[in-house]
Amino acid sequence: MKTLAWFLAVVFGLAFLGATLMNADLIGRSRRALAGGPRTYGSEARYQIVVLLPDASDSFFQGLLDGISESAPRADAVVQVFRYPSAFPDQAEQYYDIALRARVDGLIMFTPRDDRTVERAEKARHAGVVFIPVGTDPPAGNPPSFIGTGQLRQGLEGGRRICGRLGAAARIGVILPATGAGDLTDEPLYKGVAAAIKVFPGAAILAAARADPGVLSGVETASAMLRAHPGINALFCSSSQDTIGAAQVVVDLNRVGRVAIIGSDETPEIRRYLDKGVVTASIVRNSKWIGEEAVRAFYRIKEGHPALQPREADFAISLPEGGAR
Amino acid sequence: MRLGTVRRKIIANSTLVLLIIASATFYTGLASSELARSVVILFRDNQLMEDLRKALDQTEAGLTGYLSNKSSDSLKDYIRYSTRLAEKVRKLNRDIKPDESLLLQRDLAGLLDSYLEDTDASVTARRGRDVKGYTGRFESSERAAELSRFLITRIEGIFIADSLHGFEGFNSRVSAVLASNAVLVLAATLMGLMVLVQFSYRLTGPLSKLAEAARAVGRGEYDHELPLSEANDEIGTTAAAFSSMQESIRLAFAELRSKSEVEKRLMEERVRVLDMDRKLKAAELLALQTQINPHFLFNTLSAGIQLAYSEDADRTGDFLENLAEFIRYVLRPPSRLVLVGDEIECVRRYIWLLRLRFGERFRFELSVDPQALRVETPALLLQPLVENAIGHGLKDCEEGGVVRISASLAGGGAVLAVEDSGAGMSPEEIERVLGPEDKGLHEGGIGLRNVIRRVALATGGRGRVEIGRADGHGTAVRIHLPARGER
Repeated sequence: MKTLAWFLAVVFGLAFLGATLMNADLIGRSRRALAGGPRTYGSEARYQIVVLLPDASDSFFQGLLDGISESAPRADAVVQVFRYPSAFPDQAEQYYDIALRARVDGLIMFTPRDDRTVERAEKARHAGVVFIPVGTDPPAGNPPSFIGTGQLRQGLEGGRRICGRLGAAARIGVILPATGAGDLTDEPLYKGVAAAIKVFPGAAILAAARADPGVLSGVETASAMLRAHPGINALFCSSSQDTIGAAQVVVDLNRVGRVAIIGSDETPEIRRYLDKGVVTASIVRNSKWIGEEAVRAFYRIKEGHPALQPREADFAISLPEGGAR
Repeated sequence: MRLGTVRRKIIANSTLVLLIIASATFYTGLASSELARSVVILFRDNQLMEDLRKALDQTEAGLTGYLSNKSSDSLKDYIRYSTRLAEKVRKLNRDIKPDESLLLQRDLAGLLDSYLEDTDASVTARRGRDVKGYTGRFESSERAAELSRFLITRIEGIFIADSLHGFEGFNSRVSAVLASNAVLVLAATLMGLMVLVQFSYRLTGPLSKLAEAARAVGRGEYDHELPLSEANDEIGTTAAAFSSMQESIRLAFAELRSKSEVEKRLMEERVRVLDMDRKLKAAELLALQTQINPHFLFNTLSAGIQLAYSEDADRTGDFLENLAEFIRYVLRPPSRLVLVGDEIECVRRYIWLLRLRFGERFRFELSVDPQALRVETPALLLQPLVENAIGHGLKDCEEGGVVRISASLAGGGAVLAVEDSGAGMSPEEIERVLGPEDKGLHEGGIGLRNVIRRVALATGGRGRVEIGRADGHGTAVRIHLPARGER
């Protein structure tokens, strides 16, 4: 019994020690958990770049952001993203102001065609912030360093694709981007489509509408357009979100094959619609390139080089066969 | 307090057990306190944001106050608050690292720097009475303050989200912490209990052995071995004392046994003495009886002598007369001392009687130094030796056997000798006669042994008897008697 008592005393002593160590470890972990854990930050960078984008789930913006994020380390920069709701563009002003007053190193901002980009660029320069506007079409004043997609060319390509398929019988509905403003017929995209169909007498744009912000905007706009104009046999969509919405409507209305859809960009869902023949073709804008070029433009200016003139990204065509042209 | 006492051991052991349990309690208390304090970490960053917001409000109020009334007090307030705000701003992150909250903090720091620049410029313009200047910078500072509050709110949101995430991690471990607390308290208690059990065994072990030994002693097993206790305490002392007492009891019992043995031997000796006394009395009685009978014998022999002489049988009368004198000498107590002359006279009468029996078969030669006749000697030494010479030494001698008896003076003492011309004694026989054992002695040997003992007893060991060869054959027995004064 005496020996057993010794043995048990040692066993319980070890248990006591083990429990104490475990307890201390748990408390240490709890403290670290409360303190946010041993957070691992990347190494400190030289520059801080603020990216200001509308909070749209469009693949164009995702590609843009990917391009910026992937290029930033090469410019020894860290990216800080501010996203504002597309429906409340005033918030963009707030973030813009913050970036300038906080004197960040660079500001890459999505600027619609009607934006006061030149003024912004001037204010940024005054605050010592490198300002790189990105978007679809160059804003008024053709500000330097702007990098966009060229919606006029996109419209032209879309119109050619539609008329190449339907010829003079083409009756087109155009869904314009939600980020635009002003008269629809002044939109470069619309102008591009209109210019393309001129060589096919008889072909016409039956309807044009600006998509609303929101994930269901494509569905609502396409549905309203097809109901209002049953003669439409082709839809041209300016964003991936609108393309998916239009495809869903065509499927729902059982008009697959009777309504050709020329979409924009490529997502897995669009790819599926292409393969099923719902979407005829998709014009894929190289937004990632825009992001990469934006960072490169920032770095050039920071290195003391002059700002480049506005540039446009190229685009590719995604077809049902899976090939891009 | 003396070292090694049971009390000290109990106190030390109890202290150890208490320390074990107290350390567990202390640790769990400390751990709980640490855990509770940890919660403060949750709100550390939010607290900073709240401080910033407050400092911003105060600075803004101070600025507004100064711009409104331009008093020195409001200026002091502004300076105090703006300094405080600047101090708080210094706590914000300024590094460019890929983390949203860090970058927002950096933005906020830049914003507040910008704000303070605007407020300072506004104050300076106000003091310089530059109305456009101070209103413009004031409006700019208001915008910066608005944006700062927006960022503070956003950062707080991130911190709250982080805190919630951290709290989830914390909360998920709380039950494990409590469980481990319970385990360690339980383990400490059981360990203390085991130490207590072990100690109680160590303490009571020697007591149990002592009790067992006491029971054994109670049963009379005084030889029960009590293991030596190594404990230098009261129990060890008691065990040692008990052991010592046990030993004392053992010794006392041994002594008692020894005394009992002595008493037993004394009793046996007393019995033996009593027996001897009884035998002595019987011997005395027998002696008295034998003293009665000689009177009758001598009276009868005397009547026979007178009858023989009256009938002219002179030879018979001489025979009876010599026989009566010889018997009278022999029947006297053998332990008495007589003169050598008396012994010679006794031997002469014995030889006269032997000649009647054996005729000329043996020749007796008597050589006496007259000066030796007055030497004292134990009675009846020579007669047994002459009887041995005839009965044993010359037993096989049909005729011509010689027995020489001599008494001479030597060194104030006397030497009595009896030699025969017989076969003699072998050295083994002589050794047996001179040895302590009576076993194996023939009758003559026994007579010779009696002579030797009586000489030794009567002379106090100074007289001695020699046995040897007589002129190349036969036996010669010489009795050396010391002078009288030497006895």
